[in-house]
Amino acid sequence: MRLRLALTAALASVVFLCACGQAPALCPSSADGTCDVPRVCALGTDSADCDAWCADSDLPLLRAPCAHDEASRLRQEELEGLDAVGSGGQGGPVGTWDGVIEARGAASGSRVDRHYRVHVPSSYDPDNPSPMLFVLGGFQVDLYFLPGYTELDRSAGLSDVIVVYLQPEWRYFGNSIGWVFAWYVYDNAWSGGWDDNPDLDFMEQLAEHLGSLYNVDRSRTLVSGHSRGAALSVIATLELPDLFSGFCAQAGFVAVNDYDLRMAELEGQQPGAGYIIHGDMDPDVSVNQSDYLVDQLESLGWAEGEHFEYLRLEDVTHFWQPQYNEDFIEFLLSRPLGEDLQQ
Amino acid sequence: MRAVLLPAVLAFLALLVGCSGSEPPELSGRSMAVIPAGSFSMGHALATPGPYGSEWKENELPPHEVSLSAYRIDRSEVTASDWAAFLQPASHAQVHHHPLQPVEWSGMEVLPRPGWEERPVVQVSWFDAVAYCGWVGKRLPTEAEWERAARGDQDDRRYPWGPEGASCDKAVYTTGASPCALLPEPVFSRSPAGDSPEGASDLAGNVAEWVADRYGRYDEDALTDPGGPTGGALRVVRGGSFRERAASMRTTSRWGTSPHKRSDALGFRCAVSEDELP
Repeated sequence: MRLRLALTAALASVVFLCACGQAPALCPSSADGTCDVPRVCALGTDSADCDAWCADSDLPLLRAPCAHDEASRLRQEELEGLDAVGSGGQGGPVGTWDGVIEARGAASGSRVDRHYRVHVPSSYDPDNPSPMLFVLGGFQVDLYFLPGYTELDRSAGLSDVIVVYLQPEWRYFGNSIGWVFAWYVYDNAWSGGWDDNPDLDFMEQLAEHLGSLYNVDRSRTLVSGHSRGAALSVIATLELPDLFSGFCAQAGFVAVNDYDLRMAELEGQQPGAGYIIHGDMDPDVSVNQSDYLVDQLESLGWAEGEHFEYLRLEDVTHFWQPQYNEDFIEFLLSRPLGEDLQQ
Repeated sequence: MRAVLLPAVLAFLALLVGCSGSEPPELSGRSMAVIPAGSFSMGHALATPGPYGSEWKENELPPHEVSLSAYRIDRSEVTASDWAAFLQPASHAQVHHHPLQPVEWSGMEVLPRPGWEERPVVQVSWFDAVAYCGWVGKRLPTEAEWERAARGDQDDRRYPWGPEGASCDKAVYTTGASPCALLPEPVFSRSPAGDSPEGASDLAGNVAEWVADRYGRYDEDALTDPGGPTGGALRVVRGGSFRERAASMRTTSRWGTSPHKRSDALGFRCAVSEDELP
């Protein structure tokens, strides 16, 4: 990948020199000890002087040349690119679309249709593997509510991430609650154990399908969720360690269906990455649940700051916190799957 | 940000960075809103949040007194036409052009993409925005200047136009599941209905806007001409965009992202201190 990018950049330089006959002219007063841009000369034409000034001063007049120089350096880093593992998919539309895929049902041997929505940012480039983020809502939450609620479409564009909103199954919870959307995390409502969980199968099938459609970075598939979806995001990362590189659990929990006991059995499993957010005024899921999750992760060898972050927010209730979208995505993207775990 | 590096695009870029040059426009405050020196309460007042959240977020706390010197802020977001002029010098285009920006090469010069002449430029990084504002003799507004421009000095208005709720005739945003527009609209498209007290347009919605400050938690202390935290990797973004809901357009709403990132819903406007004007 890097070789290809370097060759492409070299080609661009050749075309540029052919078109112009010369590189951009230097400022007539370059290298005279005074940074002359941007009012006297174009940005980037007196770098010898400006670089020295930027290193030593924070004068307002230097903001533009210093930003230009930093952008120039970052442009070079872009050329070098990320170490990504592409799934090889070359098709798929840009924008938002809805789909249906067949996955395991709750009853043994059954198959059901599962619904999802995909948002692919305009910056998607099939030549460069794109990270993918699964989003799981809370109890009773319809997936079509999630883009506005989480504001993750915004983050998709900023971080070049394909965002996928997943629909829970439509299930009956008795007369008092009725039919609602709900993930399979409680009460062994499916046939078999965690290895047979319908929602985990849905995620596996969907990741495989989208990877055949888009060029997905197999080392950076993330899962995030709120409340019951947060619980499932943790479970999915631990149960499918060769699929998900990390999770973001907002107002989540793991003391469910004895999953915390199962976690103890995972000792020795290589830590992934996690970002945990919980408000201390949450009336639905106590913040103690995330405190407990942190304890459980640490007992498995996960270290705060290295493998996970925990934001225990004051004066916050049971609500997704979109102002941390960029923080958690950046944290998780910088911790891809190890080579030994990639599918 | 991952580069978009199709060979064809790079060939285009290589041509784009030709040898033409252009002078920056003369600095003028004519198209800028004038904000007098004064004080205001920045941030959101603490209130008991509802069980399933509130419009305001904890990163808007605590409210704190801020005093600002007189300044001016662009009445509109920087347009694709403005950006095309900035890209004429080869050394500018080499660094600040991105294939997804709404500009194109005519064979002689950089032009805004047809239909985008008066729409705000997007796909610009924080560094691009700082460089542009410096080129025109201005600078990015500080976060405090941006918020003061949006909310005025006599009340803590929820939106730049006042306490009334948002609607598509006042701002370009996403209402429920329906966007007011699928692209950023031309600047001033919601003027004067959506303007701030001093006449700045599109501070709520259209495109979100970079400001100068690093992103961090507010301090309780009163401040004079604050410039934000001295440390931290992220830069502040304000104002919401055509992709976001009304809550993100509130005058106190804020988030941060890495300064090298770009998106199709993120642009900027510039400001200048009164004492920096010629």
